[in-house]
Amino acid sequence: MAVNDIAQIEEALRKELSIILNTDSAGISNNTPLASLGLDSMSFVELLVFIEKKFNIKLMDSGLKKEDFYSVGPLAARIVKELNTTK
Amino acid sequence: MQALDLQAKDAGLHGNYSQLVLELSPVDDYAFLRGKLAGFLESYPLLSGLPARSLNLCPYWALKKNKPVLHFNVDTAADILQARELVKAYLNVPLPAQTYLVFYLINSEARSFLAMKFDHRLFDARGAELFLAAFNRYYVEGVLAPAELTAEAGLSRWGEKFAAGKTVNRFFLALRRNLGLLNLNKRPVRARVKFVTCHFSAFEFKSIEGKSEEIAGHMMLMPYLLAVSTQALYNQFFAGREGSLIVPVNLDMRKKGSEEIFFNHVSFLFFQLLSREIEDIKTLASVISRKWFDQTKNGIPKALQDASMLLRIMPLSLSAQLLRRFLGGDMAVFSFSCLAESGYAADDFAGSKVYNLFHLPVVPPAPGVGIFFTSYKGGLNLTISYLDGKMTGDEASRLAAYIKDSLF
Repeated sequence: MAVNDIAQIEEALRKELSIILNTDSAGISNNTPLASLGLDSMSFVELLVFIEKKFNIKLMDSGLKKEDFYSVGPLAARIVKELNTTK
Repeated sequence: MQALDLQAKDAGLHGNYSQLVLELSPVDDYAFLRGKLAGFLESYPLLSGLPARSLNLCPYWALKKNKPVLHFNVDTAADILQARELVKAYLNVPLPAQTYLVFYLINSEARSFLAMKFDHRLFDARGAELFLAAFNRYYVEGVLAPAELTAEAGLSRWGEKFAAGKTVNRFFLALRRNLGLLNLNKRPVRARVKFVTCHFSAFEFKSIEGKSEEIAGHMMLMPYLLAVSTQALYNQFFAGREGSLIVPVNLDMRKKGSEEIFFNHVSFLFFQLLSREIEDIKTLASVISRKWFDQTKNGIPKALQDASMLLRIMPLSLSAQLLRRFLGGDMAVFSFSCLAESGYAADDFAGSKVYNLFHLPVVPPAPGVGIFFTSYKGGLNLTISYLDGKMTGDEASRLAAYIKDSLF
């Protein structure tokens, strides 16, 4: 995956969120607030584990900011930024 | 669960059970409620089942031919304070033989309390909430929820289970390294469970969540609550001592949104926290978040669930001994859980307004102390459950006050 291919990252995040939250991925847009999807501490950690395994970046160690996790869009942008930094 | 039940009985308790309590506006027609509940129970033959085992094979839930019988006790209290005390006292009343579910309705002028006491072999905490939610739907809409049973019997894929057993064994060996385990070495004076409860309003809970964001980071409420609880307990009982505390944390393993009511879907995380990590709350929250992440990444909760399947063919007494040794046993200082989202979402229950929903769990004999957080309608409840003598009532109240003060 190209490190700046944000659309693919968004797609992967939406797919994973639908698995973690046991919901239809069609109901998750890039702008849907994650909090409104019922994400809690446990599912949030599962999402972080997915991000580390899939993109090989450790968001836990790079400072988690609330705005990065507002929705899929900003989260994908943050992942792209991290990937470009570690390139 | 069978082994935990035996372990509790060996310690003189009446088993491994819990009580979910609804604080309601006064229930006027309890006979009507009783009738509805009896009808509802009859729809679930599972409720008249009991644990069974053929020869030395795996235990299973055997259904009986007779219909489930409702155990429903009604009491009247002089006032709301006495009603609350009765709710706590009922938890120490044993369940009748081969009965896994009992209701107590305690009426006072201002409030009624409906306490649902249940054996953990039938429900876990979330399952109990979902059961009451299903009853309320039946009461209001006349709709019966099907008994959803999606968990597999666990009698296949043995290779995976043995691999899980290996993972769990390595994990516990690492935990048992000598790091000067600190423990409340006091033995219970009586096989009786006591409680201190504390309620935080929706406004207070928002403030706690804000502090959690600031201290532990985004979406890290559970690590924050565990950090505050651990620090409070350490400072009260072990201040200045070097060593480590081990805390098992209960996890609900249901898929998000699952409405599976029956049986147990719980696994665990284990945290070993060094005294030097406990001094600073920010450091402690960060250590807990990191350990939680690592255990999730390494699949420890799922491995524990899978590995527990291997224990089922063992004689019960041996399983109980192994659980005691591995699942905290004498190593753990307290157990912890946090159900930040309630399985019961309605504002009313059987026509009465619900003011609060809280849990009073019987804490396992080892460690004998539990700190539990549950939420309902934006509010947060804290329950400290302890075996009489493991700490005194005064110590438990001070611990609750310490936690309460530290949360904001």
